Amino acid sequence: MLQTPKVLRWAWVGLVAITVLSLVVAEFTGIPSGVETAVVIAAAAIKARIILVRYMGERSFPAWLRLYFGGWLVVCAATIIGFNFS
Amino acid sequence: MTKNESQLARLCAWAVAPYFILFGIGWGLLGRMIPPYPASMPAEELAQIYRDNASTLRIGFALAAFATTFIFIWTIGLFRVMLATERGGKILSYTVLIGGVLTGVDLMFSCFFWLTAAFRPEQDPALIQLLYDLGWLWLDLAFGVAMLYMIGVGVIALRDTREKPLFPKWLAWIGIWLAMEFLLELIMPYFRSGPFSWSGLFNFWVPFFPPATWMVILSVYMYKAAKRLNEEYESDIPRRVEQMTTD
Amino acid sequence: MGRAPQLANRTTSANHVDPQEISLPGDSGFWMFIAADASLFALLFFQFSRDRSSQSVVFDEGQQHLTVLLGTVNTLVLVTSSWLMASAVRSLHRNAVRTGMRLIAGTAALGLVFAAVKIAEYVLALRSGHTLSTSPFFMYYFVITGIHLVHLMIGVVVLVVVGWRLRVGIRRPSDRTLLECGTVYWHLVDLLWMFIFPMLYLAR
Repeated sequence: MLQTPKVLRWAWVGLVAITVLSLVVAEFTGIPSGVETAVVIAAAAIKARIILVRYMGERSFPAWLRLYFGGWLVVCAATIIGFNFS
Repeated sequence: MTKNESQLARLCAWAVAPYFILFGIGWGLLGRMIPPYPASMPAEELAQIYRDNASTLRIGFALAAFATTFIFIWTIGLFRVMLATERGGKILSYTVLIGGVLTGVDLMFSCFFWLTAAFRPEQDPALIQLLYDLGWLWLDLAFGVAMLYMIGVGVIALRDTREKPLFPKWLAWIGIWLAMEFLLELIMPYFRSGPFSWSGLFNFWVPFFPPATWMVILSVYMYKAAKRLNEEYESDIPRRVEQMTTD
Repeated sequence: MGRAPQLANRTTSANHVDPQEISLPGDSGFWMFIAADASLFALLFFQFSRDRSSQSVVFDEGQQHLTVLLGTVNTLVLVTSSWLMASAVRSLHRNAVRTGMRLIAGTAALGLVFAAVKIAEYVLALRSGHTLSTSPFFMYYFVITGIHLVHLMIGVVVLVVVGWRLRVGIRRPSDRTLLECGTVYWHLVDLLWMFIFPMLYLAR
């Protein structure tokens, strides 16, 4: 499934924006480390999802692979954030 | 594949069973290798374990070394099936043969080091530790030979153009991936503990058990392939007879 | 005049498919490779997080020595490379071969930029006395980014192969498959970095 150039471009804008935002949150604000981790990792999951859907064409993946990647995103984010709070 | 060859190849596929059973009991259970003692264990402690359990360790490693004989049998059958599966030239099939045999050799010889340690465990603990280290460094760092046969099988399977391939593509890709994962063993010598040491998650559990499972699944397909190749051969006889008589 | 003797294992061509005509359906085994790879990294993330939770001081201290700026630059480089690659696929499917080739070359070039920056970071770390064995944090840093870097370098090679094979455009189903697999692999490399970067550099 081919995305239009506009979609591809906006995906890139989103990825760059979220990257910069994460950087700012992590390095230039004083929020507590647990919250900070949650924010940057959630941002990572969102970026990964953008790549998955807009660039990799996740919608046309076989069903099991869509399920797998969906689960993968959740598990990875939850694991990293979860251990940070323990 | 003629009926006789097919039957022998199928027997070779079955060899995976005695291999895993004998090796599992000998190396895993009696040899106390699942999981192995960490490289960080002091020599004194290791030597004491070897002194206390010398009898079971001896029979364990002797049995394990013998069990690898079945890998050779298995590999020969695999090689014959690969020859018939491989499209074009046969170099990859020979790679599978060499890789499989050397993997068996790798496993066999590593057992001799541990067996030697168990043979005379009352000697200097440092020597026991040296033999133990030697066994693991040998076993793990020879991974390249396993890569040869696993990637060989993978590529042959991927290049099979039969409408219904003899080996599923997913099996090929998983085999290739598992073989690549072995490369992590390259950093194993840096660690005496942790997830990248010889007893760790990434250099023991991941490179041993998934590939073992893959080997068993491969054996099932190898068995089925041998059957199908015989059927292909039998159904092709009329055509070849006709060809010979119309020349 | 007799025909050439048949090889013993040749069968009728009726049940063989022309290799050039193979088009892997959506559930081809390559997806298993991708899933296996992603699983390995998930395991690495798990192991890292677990060790960090029990040694947070050591890990946070180690993190101080990383150059976040360089990591950020690399993130932007990789994200841009994914954009270029996705655009390349679009171009090739619409038979704009020259544009497609340029975009693939751009992707590969950015990949090399990433590698250069990463190696520079390694050199900086090593010069400051941090190695695989100096602290658990640096063990994970070098190993995780190292495995990722190897994936990336393989990806660059794959891109070159894809570019070479498709230099006259998409002609056969097997071309389409090669492009799809190569692209998905490259995006996976990017996707993994999306987690690796914040986990190692930012999260504490």
